[in-house]
Amino acid sequence: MTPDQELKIVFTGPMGAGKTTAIRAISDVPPVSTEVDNSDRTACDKESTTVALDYGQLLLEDGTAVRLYGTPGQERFGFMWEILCSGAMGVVLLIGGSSSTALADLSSYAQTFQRLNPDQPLVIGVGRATCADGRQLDAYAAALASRGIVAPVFDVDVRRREDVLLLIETLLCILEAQVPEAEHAAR
Amino acid sequence: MQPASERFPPHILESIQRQLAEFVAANPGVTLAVLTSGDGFEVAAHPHMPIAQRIAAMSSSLQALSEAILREAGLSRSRNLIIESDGGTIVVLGIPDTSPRLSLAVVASGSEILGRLLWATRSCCAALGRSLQA
Amino acid sequence: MVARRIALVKPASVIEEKITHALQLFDSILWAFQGTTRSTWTLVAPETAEVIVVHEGDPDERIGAWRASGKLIVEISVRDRASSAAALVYPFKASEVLALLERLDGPLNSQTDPQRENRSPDSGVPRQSQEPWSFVETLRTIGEVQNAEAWLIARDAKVPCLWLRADGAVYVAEQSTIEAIRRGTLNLASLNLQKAVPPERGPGPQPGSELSWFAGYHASAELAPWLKPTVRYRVNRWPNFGLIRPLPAHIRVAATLTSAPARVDEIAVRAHVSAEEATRTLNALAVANVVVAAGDEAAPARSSGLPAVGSRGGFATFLSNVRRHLGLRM
Repeated sequence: MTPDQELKIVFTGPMGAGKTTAIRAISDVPPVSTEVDNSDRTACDKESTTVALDYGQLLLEDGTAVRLYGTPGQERFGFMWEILCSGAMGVVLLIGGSSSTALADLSSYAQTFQRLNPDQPLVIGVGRATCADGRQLDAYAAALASRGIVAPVFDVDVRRREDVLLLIETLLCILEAQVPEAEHAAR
Repeated sequence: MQPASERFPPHILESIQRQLAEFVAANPGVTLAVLTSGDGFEVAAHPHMPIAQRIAAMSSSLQALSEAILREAGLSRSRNLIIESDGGTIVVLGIPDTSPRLSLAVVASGSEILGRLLWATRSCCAALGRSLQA
Repeated sequence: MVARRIALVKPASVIEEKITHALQLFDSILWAFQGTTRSTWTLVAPETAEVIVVHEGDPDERIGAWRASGKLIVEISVRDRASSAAALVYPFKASEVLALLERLDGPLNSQTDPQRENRSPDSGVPRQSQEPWSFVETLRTIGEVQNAEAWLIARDAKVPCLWLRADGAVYVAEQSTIEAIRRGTLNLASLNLQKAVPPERGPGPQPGSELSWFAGYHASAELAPWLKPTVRYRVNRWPNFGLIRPLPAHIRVAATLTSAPARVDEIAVRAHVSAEEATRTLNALAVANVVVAAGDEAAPARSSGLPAVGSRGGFATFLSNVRRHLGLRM
């Protein structure tokens, strides 16, 4: 067991994809936010934007704290992505499916985070997908596969806690699957 | 995306740029002064350097984090943000009475005395604030 | 509409599994496209059939007698297309089968028995396929045809059960039916699919991927005919679990097969699931078309830096604590 991994999960993705909402859905403490007025409404029509991080926590019964971080969405804060993802258990990437740049965002973020840490589990949630039959996400998964990225891509609504839990459960299962077989036999 | 500087009338921007140049000239230890929007855009800088944009983004992140930690601690609004190193100092101060909020990030070498730097930066911020009200 | 009678005859001893698959596929296509062809084709015993479908080269002595009595014999081959003169070569498309059926109308019309014409399409023994994989095969066939304009209705006995868009992308059903599909208490293999008008306003459409997932999962406790217990499989693309809403064990199995290839017995160990769970989930993953055979090499599970929670045994405890804390089913 290497000590360089920390008990933290990072939520990332473009502005408005639901990172703060997702953390709020599962955090045991009211999330700390670093939102300020958004002066660039052409990039994203939101009143506020995260400029440093969102912070939440899971406080387990044995006293262990799992930290939940949300990154800023805009690329000029990309330096925060590397800082926050360093040593994280895994990354949850949230994409807004109705955005005209959804596929480009997905490819860009997925490739960036895979480059930062190739072995770090990555789970992708797409909100407000335009097709109810999942075909849009089939195209997304195929696009990632063509870049050598095999990551879960799920239709989600992060306003629903069960959807955020699906993403977390998947992350945990990926981590669990990475335990070497000797450990499985020893259990 | 509209550059942050273009959100201000040209005559205001000229005045800001002149004041930053005067500030840097009057304080030889200062190597860079960047006027930053609350969400991390560079409004004006002297001298013009490529890293000014990154300093703008990073200083807004630090400013926001400092506000967050003060809230958690039950303290009031941030006044000065000071980062000291062996090689120099960075201070980030808010421009008074600006909405949306603007900040001035100043990078100074080790030769600059902190107290003097803070006093000079605070004066510059007050002057910038008056220009922006005009 | 003219009623036709057709029989499918398996060889007495099946040398290749493909032969069984080919006949199953033909059966599924007949089922899926009932009501869409010029004549209505009903499955019957060979003795009363007008058309008998056999495997090319089947030594069954009855074939000669059937041919001599005027029955039309259709041969299906599993050999290379170029080296076979059979009417259909597996894997064949639905459109090939439909074209064949249309062609058969000609010779059959020349044998027309006036009493057979204009018979109601509902006469004859209603066909019910009890092959466990028949519904799954039907869904696969429908998915290949990609007809988003038409709808099919599935009836249990004569009761409408669910509506399926003819490209398989969405289905409509009452909530109780959806739950029965997910629980496996609805015997999908017993459903009759027919062309239908679109469903009236009612429950919103459900993703077809959910239907095919649970159809594949509940079809059988045995490995699907196209999977082998000696082969290691891996997942090359995650199913869209956001639409499917899987059980926790399904996610664990998918994660296991993404991490490293595994045989079905290895999946059970690595994913901490029962042998039956491993089998059923692998079946579902195969139906979702996201598994590939990984060859014979044994790829060890990757070792990565795991969260610092003390010992490795502590990591399992940590995962358990997180799951319990979040209310996730183990």
